[in-house]
Amino acid sequence: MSTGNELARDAATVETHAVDQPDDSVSPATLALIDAYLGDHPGGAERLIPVLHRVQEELGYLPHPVIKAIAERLGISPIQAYGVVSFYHFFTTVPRGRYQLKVCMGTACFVRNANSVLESIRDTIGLEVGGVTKDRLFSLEQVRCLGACGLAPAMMVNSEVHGHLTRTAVRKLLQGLRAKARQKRAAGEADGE
Amino acid sequence: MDTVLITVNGQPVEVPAGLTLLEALRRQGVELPTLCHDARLTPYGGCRLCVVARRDGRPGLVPACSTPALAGMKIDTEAPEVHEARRRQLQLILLNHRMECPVCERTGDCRLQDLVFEYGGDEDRLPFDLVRRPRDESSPLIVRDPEKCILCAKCVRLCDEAQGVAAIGVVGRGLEARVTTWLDGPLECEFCGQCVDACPVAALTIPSFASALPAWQRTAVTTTCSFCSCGCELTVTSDGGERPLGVGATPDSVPNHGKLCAKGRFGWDALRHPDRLTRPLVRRGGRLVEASWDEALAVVAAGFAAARDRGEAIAAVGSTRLTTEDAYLLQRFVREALASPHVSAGVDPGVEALVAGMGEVLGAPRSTATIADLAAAGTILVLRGDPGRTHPLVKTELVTAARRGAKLLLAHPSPATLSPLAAQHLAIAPGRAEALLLSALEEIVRRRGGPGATIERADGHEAWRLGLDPYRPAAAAALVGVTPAAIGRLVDHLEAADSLVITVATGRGIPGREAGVARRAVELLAALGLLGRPGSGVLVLGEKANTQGVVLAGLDPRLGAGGRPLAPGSQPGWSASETLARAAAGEVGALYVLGQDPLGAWPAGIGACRAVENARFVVVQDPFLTDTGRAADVVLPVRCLVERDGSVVGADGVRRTIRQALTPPAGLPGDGEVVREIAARLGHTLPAGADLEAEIARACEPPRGTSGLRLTPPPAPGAPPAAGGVCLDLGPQLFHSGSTTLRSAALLGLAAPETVLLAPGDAQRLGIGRGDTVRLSAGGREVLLRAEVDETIPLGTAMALWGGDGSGAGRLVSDPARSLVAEIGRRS
Repeated sequence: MSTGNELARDAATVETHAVDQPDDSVSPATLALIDAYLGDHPGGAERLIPVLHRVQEELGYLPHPVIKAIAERLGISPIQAYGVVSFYHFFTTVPRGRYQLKVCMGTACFVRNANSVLESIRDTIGLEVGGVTKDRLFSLEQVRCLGACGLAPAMMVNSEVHGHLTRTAVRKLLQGLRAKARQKRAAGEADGE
Repeated sequence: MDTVLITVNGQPVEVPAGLTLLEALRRQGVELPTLCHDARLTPYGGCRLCVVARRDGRPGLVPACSTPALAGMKIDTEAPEVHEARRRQLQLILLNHRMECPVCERTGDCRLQDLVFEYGGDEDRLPFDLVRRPRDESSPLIVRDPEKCILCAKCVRLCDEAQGVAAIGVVGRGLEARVTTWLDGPLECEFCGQCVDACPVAALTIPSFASALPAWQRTAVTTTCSFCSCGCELTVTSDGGERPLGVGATPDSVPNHGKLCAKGRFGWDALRHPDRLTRPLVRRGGRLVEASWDEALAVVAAGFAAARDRGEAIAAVGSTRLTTEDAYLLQRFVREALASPHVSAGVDPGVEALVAGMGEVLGAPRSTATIADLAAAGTILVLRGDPGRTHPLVKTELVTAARRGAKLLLAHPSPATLSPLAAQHLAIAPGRAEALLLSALEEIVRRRGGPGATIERADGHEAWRLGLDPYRPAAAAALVGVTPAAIGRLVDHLEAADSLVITVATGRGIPGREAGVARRAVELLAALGLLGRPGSGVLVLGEKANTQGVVLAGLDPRLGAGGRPLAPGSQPGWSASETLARAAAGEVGALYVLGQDPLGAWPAGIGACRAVENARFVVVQDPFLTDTGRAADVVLPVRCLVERDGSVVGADGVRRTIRQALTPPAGLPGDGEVVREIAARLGHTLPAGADLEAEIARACEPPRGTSGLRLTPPPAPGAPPAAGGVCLDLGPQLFHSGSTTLRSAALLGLAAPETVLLAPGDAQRLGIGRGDTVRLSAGGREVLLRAEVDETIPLGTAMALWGGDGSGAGRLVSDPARSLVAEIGRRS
């Protein structure tokens, strides 16, 4: 019989073997961020989820050493903190892009050809679902429903919803974001000189 | 007690308020199926097998384990929809469970199998494939098979809630959820094995216990653990006594509530160590040769008789590992048949704290608190050592106590798992617990303007009070190794206590005088007005299983049976160290050593070498061939405690039965039988049967009434240790506590004894890295150890295992009561 959980199985096998022993170091800035948050919010281990939120907001993801540092400060074991991180879809232990693309694959978007959105993304920046561009500018996920069915097909770029997407609209959007990033970088370099 | 009325399967029943439905139903004798419930843990509601139907208007099924029993509830536990729900739930569990019952080692002893038999669920399995995950064999002693795991999470919750370790957790969600360690590494834990005991299926197993023998053909014997004085009840499953196939404890066991430690669970392979003796040895022509029991006993009886007839001193050195009965017979034998007062329990830790500590100050050589008191105490002061190193059950009780809100005050050099739970941790210098208590006493007495009524009633309280002066925190804090403010905070906590239990850990190599600490602990209770209050007291944790029992049996030169004073006119005999000193001086005609290895395991300063050399006739009685045995004239092999019937008295003063759970090699006798046989050959009959039992029962009776408090003037404070060296904290280290554990391959695999833990700062200063071989020297002796750098070790101290076989840093010790300063350097 064909399997209904092929995906889960693959994901699980990958997860079991893919975790490298990470470097244990956490940057002083990240430690300062954690300590500042915990200092402003006295309490116990119930602060785990908010502090994870705060740190992911800043770093874009939660590296294992950071999870461990947070656990130590909250007096819980690292595996307990990781249990929470791994439970919530929102948290990620792998880096995401500066622009996180979430393409809606809910029913309405699906029938309005959400696949074309994915294809356009792949054609423009060569990104597959679950991937991150080399420059960490973009990462791509598909999600179930954004609750914006009237705008189908839709996707989110970070916290911003873009609707009625066509292949061209997607390409222009992504090229615009890339140009913006390039400008910013150039400006940053100019400042530095 | 408030009760509520509920209806169960049509019958109205009254149950205590505040229970869950599951608890309430169990009290009515109604059992519900469950895979995830454990009465010791917070309700979880994970397996959904305990669902019951409500018939009081609220539709639907509720999980009984996490639903409170409320007045007016009507419950149906056996309705068709309840059974159908359980069957479907089992189906969902089986969906991701590798079913290989015919070859599974838990077959016949599997909760899941039992329930599938009862409810079905396997006949139309859902169309999903198993999520494949490899078996994890990377940890010593415990194998994890995630494909069999049903995610009841009992292991995860016990590891956190009961053990306070949380080495494992559930990660992921849905079909991806699994139990694992941080970064999927090997287990880094205390190896208590509670997780394996709690696993309802075969997801967690112990390969060393693996056997093809099906569950229904195994024998199970419940006895008392013989590794330390906690007195844990354990059940040994075996193939008729030959080899242990499982060591566990049930959740209702007392005092441990199902908990065991690495030693009690895994240490039993020591019994089959190559050093284990099966036949007596007699020295002939300078060599030890095997002899029959008859020959060996004849030589022993003749040797003792000759010494007695020549009027030479005969001395026996026993051990706290003897059963109460054997210890009693031994002291009667020595005192009556050999007419010698020189009988002791060796230098085993805990005896001094009981006899010279508790006995001196309160008149009875017993603890005044129990392990059960820890469950209710408001404040707990932990002295001399982390019970996690010495007495693992006590540690778990402290974890539970701290989680329910008890105030934990730790006063020992190195923090450990308890530290995050503690209200205060005073990282005192090794061996300074007594100075800390005197300092706290000085502070209390000064704050209150007097020592209080209890102490003022005692003789010599003025001298005692004066003796406290040099311990004023401002002056003595440096000696103790903490700040005066820290002592002040400790006193704040103590003064706020309405009940206080003080634990005094003992163990070979823990520096400092244990008797002094026990005495000051009692004085502290007196100064706080808590002496004799129910729920407050001092709990002396003896190192070996029967420390309290052998003291009550009278195996001490200063005491008779029952811990009572010697008969008027009789002089106390020699202590063990005096015995050896006399033997070294050639004053001992016959030396009878039972369950001790003075040559291999005692402090070098005692001079066991010359003692064994110069005693005219040396008999060693031991399960193993020890260093002392190798130098003896006769060696008599005996059973270990787990192969023996009898009784031991735990640190809590409770006398517990031990039963033969494993078969001794070659039908060996127990210590008592050998003593009785030697006595018989000397024409002396020792009590047996009901007579013996009556005498032991009388000796173990709790004392009637208490005598007054006897104060001991504080000693003059010593000098702080000289700078430069590193102060050594020796002693047991969770997996090891002496010669038995050091013969267990399983426990040696968990921790090698030849290791010294250094503070990062000291390691850096001395240029020592992890894994380096370092040289420790003190008093002209030196040892080589492997260095580990551990950030929990305070600067200026180092921690090392005593090494019960005389190896390791123990060889540096000349006087165990004094803290030891060693020079440490890289091996050149």
